[in-house]
Amino acid sequence: MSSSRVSQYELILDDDKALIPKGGYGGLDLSERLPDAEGFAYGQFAGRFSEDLYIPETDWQGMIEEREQQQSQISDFIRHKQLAPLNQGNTNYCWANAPVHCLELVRMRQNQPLVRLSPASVAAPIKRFANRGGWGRDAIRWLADRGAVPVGSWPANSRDQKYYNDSNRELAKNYMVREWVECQPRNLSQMVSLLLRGIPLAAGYNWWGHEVTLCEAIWLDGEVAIRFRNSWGNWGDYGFGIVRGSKMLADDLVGPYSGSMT
Amino acid sequence: MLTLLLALNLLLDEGNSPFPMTAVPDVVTPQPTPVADEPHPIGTVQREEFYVLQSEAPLFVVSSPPGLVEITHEQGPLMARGRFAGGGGKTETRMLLGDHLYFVDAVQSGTVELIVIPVGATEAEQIQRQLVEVQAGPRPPPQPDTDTDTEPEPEPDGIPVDDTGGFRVLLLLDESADPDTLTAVDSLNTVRWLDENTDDWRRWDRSTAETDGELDKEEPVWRRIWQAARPALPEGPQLLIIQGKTITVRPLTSQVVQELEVAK
Repeated sequence: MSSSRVSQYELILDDDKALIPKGGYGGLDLSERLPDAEGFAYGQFAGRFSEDLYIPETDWQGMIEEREQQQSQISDFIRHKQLAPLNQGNTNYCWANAPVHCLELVRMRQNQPLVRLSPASVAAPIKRFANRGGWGRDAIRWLADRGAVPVGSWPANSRDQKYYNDSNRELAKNYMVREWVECQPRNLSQMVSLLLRGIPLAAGYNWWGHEVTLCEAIWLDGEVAIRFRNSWGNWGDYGFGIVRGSKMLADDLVGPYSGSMT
Repeated sequence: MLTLLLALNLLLDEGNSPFPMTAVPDVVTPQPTPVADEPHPIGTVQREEFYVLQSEAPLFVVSSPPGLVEITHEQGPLMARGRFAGGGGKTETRMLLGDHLYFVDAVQSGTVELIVIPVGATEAEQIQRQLVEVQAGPRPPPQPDTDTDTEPEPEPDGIPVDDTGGFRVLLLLDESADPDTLTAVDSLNTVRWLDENTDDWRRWDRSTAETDGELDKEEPVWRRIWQAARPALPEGPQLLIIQGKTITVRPLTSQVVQELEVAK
């Protein structure tokens, strides 16, 4: 198989380059995550990755080819639905932008009305309205417990406490993550297996200090790579970029299976 | 629901009972009478409920008298979705963590003793016993008398539902969906077909849909469809085609668009 198609505007982040992309805020902060024997309390709050979901590495190339031929990749769906990338502005809320974007994608897959959701409605209350970094599992737990507020009622990047009111808390219950999985940090097999099943993932990268939305596995120069979506507006190609090699191994990786049915 | 029951972990510690245990609520306020219940083995096996013994080491599991239950050994860990003994009748997804899992299925009502013997046991104290009430449900109705002249009723073509007033499709997926099916369901070809040919469609995660109250805020027509179809749905990913007053259910496969073309 030849390599996957990559747009000239998609920045490729790999081990050959010491490049750390600039142009936007990050905010990944794993310092509050308590390590344990299995990797940061992995599986404590969501289901661990089920062995049944593993897709053998020998199948990856063929499955990527099949998903690309059938236009089954998440990037195909995003372009078809014209879902613009998020833009975290000058907030340090990448760690909430990625899980919120995952939830938006899951809701669209469920064919529910497109409602843009406010990452700040998740991150700001968690951080007591400070512009502080965090990590994806905290955000997705909030999404599972309380949900996100649509941007019409809480601007995407606002940390104004006036939005954290009863009306918005009630509204957020319509936009919750229902089922989600947490992967082991830096586990390539789990990450690729979920992406080949069409599950978007929020991935935090220590090397970048940033969290992004992983959309799909691709095949590049004889090996697997990952197409991600950034939360820096129209960065790269419609928000898309590529990460591969050791840089693609995420230090924080969560993904929603389903969202609330509203 | 994927949340792990921490109680399950208890079962895996060496020396603990392999039997499924009841959940014990936290005691917040001291009670005048002493203490909360200790967790104890669940004493009822019902038809269509999982009753699973979990163990890190291989066991012999014997039932006495024989014939009331059927015991099947599976390698663990694995994820199972359905109703679990002691789970209050709720459909759940649970990770069964033992390397050795023994599924106890109700066959005939009565009381049975489950006797658990670790492979290689040398001491009588290593043998564990548990009396279990088996509720196998009512016997199936008798077969119709084949000597009568009555023509058999034709198989119904679908599940009746209050008029939905259109053509709708529900794609019902779960974790058992194979990657080829997922690739087909995710494809733009399928999405475009559904957008262009149906009055509306949905793609639901099955365990989410089966959670009580989850559909309360969904459109009423979808709630009606789900209410009508749910009792008749086979296990696994399903394709529900809703035409007016009829729901047709087929296994969801990689041929989803072809199935829909035929049905329309």
